[in-house]
Amino acid sequence: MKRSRQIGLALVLVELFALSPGPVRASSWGSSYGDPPGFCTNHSQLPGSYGVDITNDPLVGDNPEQDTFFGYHPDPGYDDWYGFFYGDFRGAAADTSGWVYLTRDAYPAHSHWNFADFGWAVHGHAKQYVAYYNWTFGGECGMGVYGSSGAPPYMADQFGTPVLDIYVDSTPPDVPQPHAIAADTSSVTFAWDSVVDRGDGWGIDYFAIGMDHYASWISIDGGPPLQYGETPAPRTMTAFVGSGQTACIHVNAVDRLFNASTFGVACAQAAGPPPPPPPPASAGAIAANPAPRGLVGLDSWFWIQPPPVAITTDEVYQGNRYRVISTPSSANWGFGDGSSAVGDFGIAYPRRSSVMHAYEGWSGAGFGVTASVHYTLTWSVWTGARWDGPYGMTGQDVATTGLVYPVIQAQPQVDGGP
Amino acid sequence: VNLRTPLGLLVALLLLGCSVDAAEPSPYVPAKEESPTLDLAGAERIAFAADDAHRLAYARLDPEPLRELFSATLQESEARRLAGLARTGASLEETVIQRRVVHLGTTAGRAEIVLAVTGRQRRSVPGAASRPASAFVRQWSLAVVWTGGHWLIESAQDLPPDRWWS
Repeated sequence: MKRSRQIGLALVLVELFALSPGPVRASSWGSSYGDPPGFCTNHSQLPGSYGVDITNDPLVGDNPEQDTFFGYHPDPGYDDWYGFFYGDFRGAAADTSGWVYLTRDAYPAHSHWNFADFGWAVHGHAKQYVAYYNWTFGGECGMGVYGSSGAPPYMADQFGTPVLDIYVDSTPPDVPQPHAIAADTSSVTFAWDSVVDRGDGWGIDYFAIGMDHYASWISIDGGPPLQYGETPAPRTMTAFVGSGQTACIHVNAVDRLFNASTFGVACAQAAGPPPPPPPPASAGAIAANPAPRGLVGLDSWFWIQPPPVAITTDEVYQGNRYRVISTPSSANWGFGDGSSAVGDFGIAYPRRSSVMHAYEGWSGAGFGVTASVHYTLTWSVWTGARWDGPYGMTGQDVATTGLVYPVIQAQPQVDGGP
Repeated sequence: VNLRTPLGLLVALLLLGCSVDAAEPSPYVPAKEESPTLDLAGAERIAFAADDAHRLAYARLDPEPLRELFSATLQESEARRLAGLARTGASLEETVIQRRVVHLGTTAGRAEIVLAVTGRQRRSVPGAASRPASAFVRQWSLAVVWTGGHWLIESAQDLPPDRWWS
């Protein structure tokens, strides 16, 4: 008997606790915010009238509750409407408004309220509770006493959407950064990396709807859009261009609520010759035999030491990757006595050089021997899959370090007989 | 059996049903109707029709378009909400840009369909300044049952993003 009385008392206490206005409890509907204290769902259509609104409009222009404020009750002749808001609705995350007065509507008129009326805006997530103030029948949900205005509950709207989870993403995704990935002499190919959607709000109220598509097209010399397309993922686009024409790619990113980034733009021309690389400081030095002086009437052998070799230069120009090869092809020789020749680079002693000259006169001070190496230049451009080329370009002449070469008269010498 | 409790009442009704069957076996047992299983094409047809009807109802502020596809309970609930809106004249214009069924769960005679809808919408109120349109995305979950030889929507709700189907 005693035990059953204890259980009965406990049940009464539990019931009283459950029905009394109290601190914020876990929500019965939707997200974990709420339910607010004093919120009574009697006479409402909850949970059927719980709603979710996902929009790109921070002012929640499609708020289904904004025009549902009525004066329902002839006694006392008006209704006062209150709202309770959680989340990021006035510039701070995880905010709580408490019950705030929204409107008073005389019976049977109606009025409008929305976030903009308080200068508020939703970013990310907010949860909205709308209720009329119970002047007329205290005692609902066990709150207050019938006929008394003490501790009346906030009665959930009966016709609209009294509990609404609002998710706002008004922020566009990151701007795609397109770039040329390949070019040859008649086309340019562009691509871009995927971007992520930037969400709205902060902290626990952050909400990002997610990427939807990229809109992209190509223009040539500022002409009309070509190859327009909306694709769920980045794509490569090739523009065929003539000499001197500029192709541009335009691409933006759009999320699922149609928030669109600005356009990322990249332009490029079909590959033409790149600027030539700087020539080598010296193409080597001239060596001779006999040395250190030659003899009149006797062939002197000349060569360039070390022998010139091909030079490969990689460079990036106007977004394209180039390879320029400088190949030594010939040398212009000057022997200092007014004679000259075009030939190769000679061959080092003791082998017989291909560059020879016999002086007809002597010079104790020496003849100034010169040689300049001619480099033939070719360029190739990387198409993304292969090197396109080689194409010729203007060659370069590079001087060697000259040689002062004395030449003496051979002295006849008679050896004595045995 | 305590008939004042729901359980007691249920047990009593079951017992009554058994005793009636035993006392008077029916000479004719009608063939039990085979409940169909909804396929994706059928789900898409129902969901699209329901979406169209719902949109029309909220544009006209009239529950009549819901009559064929929605259960009586759901119609009643929607009718109350529409009546509330009708008192203000506020209507909702929606333009659908994309919609597709993103989830279908089926058993014989029952299905859960989730329809993803993307579009633009504008609320308008007579006498109020024109409001700008905004974009919306929703996933609308429909519980569908085979009743009386056709599919009927028993309940409908918008899903919060953390319960979305991809």
